[in-house]
Amino acid sequence: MLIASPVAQLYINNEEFDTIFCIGNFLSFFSPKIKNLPVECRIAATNSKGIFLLKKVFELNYNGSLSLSIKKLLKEENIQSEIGLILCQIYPKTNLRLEEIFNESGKCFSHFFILYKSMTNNSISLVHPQSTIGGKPFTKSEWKSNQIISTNNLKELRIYQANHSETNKSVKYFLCEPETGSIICENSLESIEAMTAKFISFDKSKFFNYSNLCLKTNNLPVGNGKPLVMKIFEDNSFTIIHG
Amino acid sequence: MLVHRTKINQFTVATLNFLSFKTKVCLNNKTGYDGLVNCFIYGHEGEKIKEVPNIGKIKNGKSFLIDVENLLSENFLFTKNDYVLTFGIVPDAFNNIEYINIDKELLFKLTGPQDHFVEYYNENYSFGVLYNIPPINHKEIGMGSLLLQAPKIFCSQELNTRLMILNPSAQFEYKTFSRLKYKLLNVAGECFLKKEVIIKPNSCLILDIKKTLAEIKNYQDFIDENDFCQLQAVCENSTLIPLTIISDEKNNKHTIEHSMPPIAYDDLMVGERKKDVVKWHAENW
Repeated sequence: MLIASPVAQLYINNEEFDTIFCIGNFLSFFSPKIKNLPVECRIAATNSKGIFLLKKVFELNYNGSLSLSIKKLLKEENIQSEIGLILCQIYPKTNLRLEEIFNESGKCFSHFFILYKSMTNNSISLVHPQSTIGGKPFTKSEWKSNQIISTNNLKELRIYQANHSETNKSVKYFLCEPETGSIICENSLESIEAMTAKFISFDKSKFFNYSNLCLKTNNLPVGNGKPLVMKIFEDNSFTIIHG
Repeated sequence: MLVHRTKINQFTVATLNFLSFKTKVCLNNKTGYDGLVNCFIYGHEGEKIKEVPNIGKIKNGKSFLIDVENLLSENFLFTKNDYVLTFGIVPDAFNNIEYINIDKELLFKLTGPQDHFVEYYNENYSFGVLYNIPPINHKEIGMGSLLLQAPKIFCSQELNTRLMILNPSAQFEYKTFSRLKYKLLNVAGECFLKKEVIIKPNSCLILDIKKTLAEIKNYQDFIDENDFCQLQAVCENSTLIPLTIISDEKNNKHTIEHSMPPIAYDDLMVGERKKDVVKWHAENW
């Protein structure tokens, strides 16, 4: 049995947003014959510079699960951080004979889900993480999202980018016409530090003439490190969809 | 094996008129060929209502946007009802052939790991999800199974979670009634509700978790401080497509996400090993 590098997703924590992390003990669900298998859920969080702020271990029962408010988690540790990565790795309790009991398992990836939650207008968005830390390098000349972004009642478009790699990365973002691919406007994130996340905004003055948009980039920090697209509507409600 | 030309590359969505949202679909063609888009329209119960053989042409490498309300109106269907729509991309080379004799390798090449997009919208708000549906539930390709752990159920006074479960197929005449067993568990791993439902072929079942929880006295005792609990599910006789919709019902705001297949958690959770785990769960549910 091999445990892959931590799986990571970006958190947003400010007056307006909280981020809820949630995961199940998938090892016990996929190896159900091993009864009473508790696991350790190892969580870490970085700040906007990619520096580790905290590391915590939670125990999950057989078939157990865990949800964490990142706002509460950081507050308990007296840490102020508005954006960064939340990382997770699940390990079986170390006093068990892993090779013997998990002899059929492959490489295990500790996928979790994230619920972004507005504190003021009750919008919510559920996403899963895109990548493990490190990840495979991005080898193409561009990346194009399959998502069509309708601009109806849209006030702002925000692109959140996590950098799962261990070096700084820069990414250029292009809003394009879906049918022709022609570029409407562009914006860049320069030097996103390793192991953190940043965002850029496009306000509606850039795209109000177009009913649909698509997103292209010249690069991704890692092969599957697609950005999150946040649509902010006129009433400040939002939705987030991964690339 | 023989696969009907409309079933090579398909994308199934369900409408959400019952939540007062309209539906838009964006198909992406990465088959390597130009193609023709077709659509089968079913009721939420899976009854076939209409086949639309030609919606338009989609070029290789391009996308194709479909407003479902327009599609329904053009086909004289009542737009306020809910439907299941299966869109197909038929590569040009196969346009005049009913059943294609195709091997698995070419079939999966033509399907590819390409996501399509569905968006639900009203005049103020929209939400959507990208996902793909490989050729599933076909007697020669394999019927497969569902093994789902979904630690993403949120229920409170304001929040509700619904599972939208689709039962599509690469088989032209699909008749499998799928038996889904599911349970809800608190964070300690204790099961507090078990159910079994039948999902008809080509249908969409909406599992409304809040309604289900209402059957239990003091269900709040099983939900944690973040309004969270876990759902697990198993289906032995077919592959189902579960999508999770979390709703702020007071504000009519929603979010939808696809599920992660077992192989995303453990890269050897396939074939006989997955079958064994599915069988174990089905027998020990």
